Amino acid sequence: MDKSSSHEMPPDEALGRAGRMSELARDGSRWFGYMLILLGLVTTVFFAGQALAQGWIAAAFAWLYAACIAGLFWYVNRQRVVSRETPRITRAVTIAYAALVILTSVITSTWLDDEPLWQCLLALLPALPCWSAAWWVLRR
Amino acid sequence: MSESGSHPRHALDQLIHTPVRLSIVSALAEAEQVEFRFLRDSIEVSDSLLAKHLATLEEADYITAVKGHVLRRPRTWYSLTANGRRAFDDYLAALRRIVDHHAEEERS
Repeated sequence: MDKSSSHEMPPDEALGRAGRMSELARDGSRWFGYMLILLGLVTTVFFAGQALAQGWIAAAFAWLYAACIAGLFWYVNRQRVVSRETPRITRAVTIAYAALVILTSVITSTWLDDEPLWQCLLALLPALPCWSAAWWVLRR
Repeated sequence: MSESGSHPRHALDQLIHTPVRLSIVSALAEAEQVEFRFLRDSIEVSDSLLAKHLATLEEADYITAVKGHVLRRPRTWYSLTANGRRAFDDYLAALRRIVDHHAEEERS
């Protein structure tokens, strides 16, 4: 068969086109992984800031955290491709993140009140579900 | 949408086998939802041409559209239906068979 005679597109060109579009859609959906990495980073910086700083500097870290969360919300709303993984893991990551943020807040303000080093280590805890989900999303 | 016959080309879904519709379905197959503007900018077609092809795929029950608002701006999101995903998988399989068939013909 002459590959181009009976169809608008030769089969190899069609395969190439399908591959390019799949790649574009995949690249367009990577934002969710980047967003999760940033969320984990911002949360860790916030908790570490609360552990190490005092007074207005600690308050500034809290404001910075709130501003970053608002920025991430804006960033999410600008995205135009939702990956197939996103709906599957959003609920699990949200629950794990919220639970670990509360747990970290409770532990650092009660048992580890005077242990800044341990507080800084514990600041990594809420980031773990974000970073593991980011790895899962970006590994493709 | 298939023609009858034993050659692999007869298995090609002619509804998908146009450059714009193939691009739409390929993008949707890779994602859960894709917004209209992403398709328009990626495929580099006008709004009206893209809308026409999307309507054709929607009528065939290959894709579904969800209209909504993001920060008060109207947005339309598209996703592939189970029917559309099956049709696209069959289409890709048929394409690969044609390419293989062609390669075999060239070898012999």
